[in-house]
Amino acid sequence: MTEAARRLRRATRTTSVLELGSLLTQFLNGATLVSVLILISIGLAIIFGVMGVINLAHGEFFILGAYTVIAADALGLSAWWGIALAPLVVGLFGALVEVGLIRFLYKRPLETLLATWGLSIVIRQLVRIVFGVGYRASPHPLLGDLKIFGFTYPIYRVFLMAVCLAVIVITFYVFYRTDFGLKIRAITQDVEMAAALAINTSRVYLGTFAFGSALAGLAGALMTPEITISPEAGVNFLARSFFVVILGGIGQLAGVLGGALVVGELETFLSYLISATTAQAAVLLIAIVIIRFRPRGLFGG
Amino acid sequence: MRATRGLPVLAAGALITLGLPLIAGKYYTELLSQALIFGIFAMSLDLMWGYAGVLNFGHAAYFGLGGYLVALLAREVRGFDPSYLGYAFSVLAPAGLAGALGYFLFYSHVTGVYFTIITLVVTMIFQLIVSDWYWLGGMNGLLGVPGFVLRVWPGLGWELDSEVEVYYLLLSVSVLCYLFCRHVVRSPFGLVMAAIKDNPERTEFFGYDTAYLTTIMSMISAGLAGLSGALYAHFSGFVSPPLFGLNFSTDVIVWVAVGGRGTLVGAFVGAVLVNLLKAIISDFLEVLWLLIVGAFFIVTVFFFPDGIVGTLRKLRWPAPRSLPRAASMREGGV
Repeated sequence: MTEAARRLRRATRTTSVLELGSLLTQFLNGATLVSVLILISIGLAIIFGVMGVINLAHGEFFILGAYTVIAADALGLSAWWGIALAPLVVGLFGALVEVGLIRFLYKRPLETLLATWGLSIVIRQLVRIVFGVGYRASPHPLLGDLKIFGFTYPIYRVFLMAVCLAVIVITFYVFYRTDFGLKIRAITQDVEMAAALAINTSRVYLGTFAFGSALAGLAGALMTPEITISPEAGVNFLARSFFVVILGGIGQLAGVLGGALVVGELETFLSYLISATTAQAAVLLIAIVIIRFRPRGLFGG
Repeated sequence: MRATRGLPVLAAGALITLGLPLIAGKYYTELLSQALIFGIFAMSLDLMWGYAGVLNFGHAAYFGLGGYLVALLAREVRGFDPSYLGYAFSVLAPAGLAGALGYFLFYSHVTGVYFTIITLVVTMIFQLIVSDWYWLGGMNGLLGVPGFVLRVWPGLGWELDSEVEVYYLLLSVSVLCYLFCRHVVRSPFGLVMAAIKDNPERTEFFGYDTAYLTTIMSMISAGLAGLSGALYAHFSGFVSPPLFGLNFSTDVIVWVAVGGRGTLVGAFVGAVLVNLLKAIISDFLEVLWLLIVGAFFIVTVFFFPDGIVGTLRKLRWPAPRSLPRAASMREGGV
């Protein structure tokens, strides 16, 4: 992500001379990062909040999504196919992981953490073996700028934000307006009681984990034109999205939006002032201080 | 009873560890020396994970801090020789960092998995800063850290230049560290820690300041990790950003898990065995090593939760059946 942040900086320097325009660009760059963080963190927050599972392989699900685009490109399919396939592929993979690994470790958070970390190491190494070490570039699906009132901005980033908005709407709809969402919320509140009311908890867990994984895969696929893809790119996003979830307050879907807003905008603005890497470190440090004074998250009760 | 039964094991262990450099060549003696340093580091993690029930996923931050401090002192202070000042710094600074973290986390009741995630990020912060700042050597790290010197008086001391001398020095430091840790976990303080691990609410109810005690424990653990980092800097002659890395933090967890957490000795067993295995396997199967590490994680979690030493102890001294197991054990620990 350091590369992406660097690109964001470069973009800000070359765009507008006007102070207002550059400020707006800054804000939009931040909004792009916020959108991506939301896409990754929502999956993480759902899995964490509903199942109590800390998925340290979530970052690897993200890069699997990115490599799906690269694989699709190698097969001669367009990047759009890659982006459409990524959530399916990664969601299916997530379902397999749930059945093969996570299922045996419910209610044992530390063990889950270790097992998923082991899984993430294995995935990373397999990706290295299959796709090679080092950075990969992918075809850009949507080049060009959007021009409004003499102000230009890359159209792909606008598309990115639109997708993020759509995902938020869909997720909230699923959670608060469907039967499946009702079951999820029941399980979050009280697993035993939900099971006693004839809710098939293991099936809901499976669905939840697959859905969360699919979102991570989608995020990875969407980010391929924006970042340089490497097997190690996932860990970086993992750490930040965990902070988004913790800052937002665990178990609150809306908290993710707030947490992502804080982390994303803060990092973008700081990386304008200091080096991108130091900015990232500073944001994480600030997050730790915030957690000291608001352990239940910025928006937690 | 237990002590007399353990005596032959102890004698055999002493013979093997003392005699090894005589039969092992230069390469394996150096490998063992490094494994001893890693063993001290692993033991410091075991203090937290095995005895306080809190897993630090960024324990490498303390190790790296200790190592970098020694390297910086060697570069910045003219005529610096590896006196005890460097060691003092490399113990106190990580302990201070752990104290600050404890204040920020344990006092806000951020424990368990949340603590684990945040420590994971702490070590990432260090790695980001160290690889980014030119003054700290950037990606190349810092070179030219002097070797070990045993100093009895300013100006009076001798350099350890053969790998066998270094091995014996590290062996004696390891034994001292082990005795220190054993003392800590068996002291009244250690017993309270065990109680906190088992049931923090009840311990707090008894009037113990659990946040304070856990912070103290993590400071001891961090100081020991910093010491091992300093030893490593002197041993290898240079430090670099991967010392802060997540991979290194991961490695140390594997060592403790394989050796057996909550045993102290297990940390050394794990560190030595895994590093030997790594040296042997990496020679011809570089690609597979990380796959094996990942598999280690999953396999130990599922089939081997007690590690080598823990399993052996269970075989030798099975737990009495009549004793009810603690609730936290039934639920699979913290």
